[in-house]
Amino acid sequence: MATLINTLWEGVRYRGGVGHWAYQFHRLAGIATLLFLAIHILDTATVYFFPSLYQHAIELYRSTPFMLGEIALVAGVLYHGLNGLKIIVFDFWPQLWTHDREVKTTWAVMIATFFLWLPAAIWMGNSLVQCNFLNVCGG
Amino acid sequence: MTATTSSPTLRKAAVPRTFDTWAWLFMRWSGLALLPLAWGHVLLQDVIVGVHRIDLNYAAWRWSFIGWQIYDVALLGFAFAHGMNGLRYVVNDYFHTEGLRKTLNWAIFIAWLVITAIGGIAIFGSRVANAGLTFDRGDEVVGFGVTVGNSGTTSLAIVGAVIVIVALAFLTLRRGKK
Repeated sequence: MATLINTLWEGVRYRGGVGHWAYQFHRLAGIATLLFLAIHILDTATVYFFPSLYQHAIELYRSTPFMLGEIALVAGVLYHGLNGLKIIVFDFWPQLWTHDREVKTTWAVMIATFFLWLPAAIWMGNSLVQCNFLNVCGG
Repeated sequence: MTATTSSPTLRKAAVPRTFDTWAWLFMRWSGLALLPLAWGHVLLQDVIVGVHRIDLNYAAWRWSFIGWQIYDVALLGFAFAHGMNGLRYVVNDYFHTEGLRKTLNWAIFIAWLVITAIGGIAIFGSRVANAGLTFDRGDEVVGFGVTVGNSGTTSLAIVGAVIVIVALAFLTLRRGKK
């Protein structure tokens, strides 16, 4: 246990710069998405196994904390995808992989993530406010 | 900065192909396939349709199309295996006791197998379980002008495009290796 805590703490403390943060965010987004995915597969499976329970699962997803989590999930999935694409390119064409490009592409990934996430977040935030606070849900 | 520090020296070494070689390759190819599959799924279900318009009738209606069944089974297979293998990497990095590591690896393998089977059975069994439901969603717009009636074909086109992209990328890379 002491080794695990030490390893995790060193992962935060390590001063590896931008590339290190890209790696840590990649893991964090990946694990968070996997946790959601496991729950999501099981609750969606009620459509076959226990159809009467599906509505209860959907009610949970419609609650404000879950909808906020959904907006965060979109950011994680976008970042993990774009950063993963960066990893694929550098892994298959290692001659392209220089420190300078690692730093520049990491910033590009973070900026692109933000601008892809922003319209989705506004759209989802809008339906959150309309459905859960103003009771004027479209559809 | 001199040339020796700015460009890495590349040398080729014979690497034996182990399970982890295939796992490494799988992470890259499945990652590529998941860009359209997972982003498309999130864009459609979470952003365009939204959780407030999803109910049992919607979910069962979606799985009445072979196109969405194939799309969802591809998404399930790639995404969950990608995620569980990623979890295996994380566990092997952070847990240093051999016995504990072995137990956790087995737990990950069994969880992957069981949850994938549950998801797959649900996708293909839904038609039987919800045979009593009627779907009257003909003119309902799913997004980008796609209506319910033609969305099964649209999903097949997306899956087809994904297969073509991955196959082309694979062929290009194999040629580059020679």
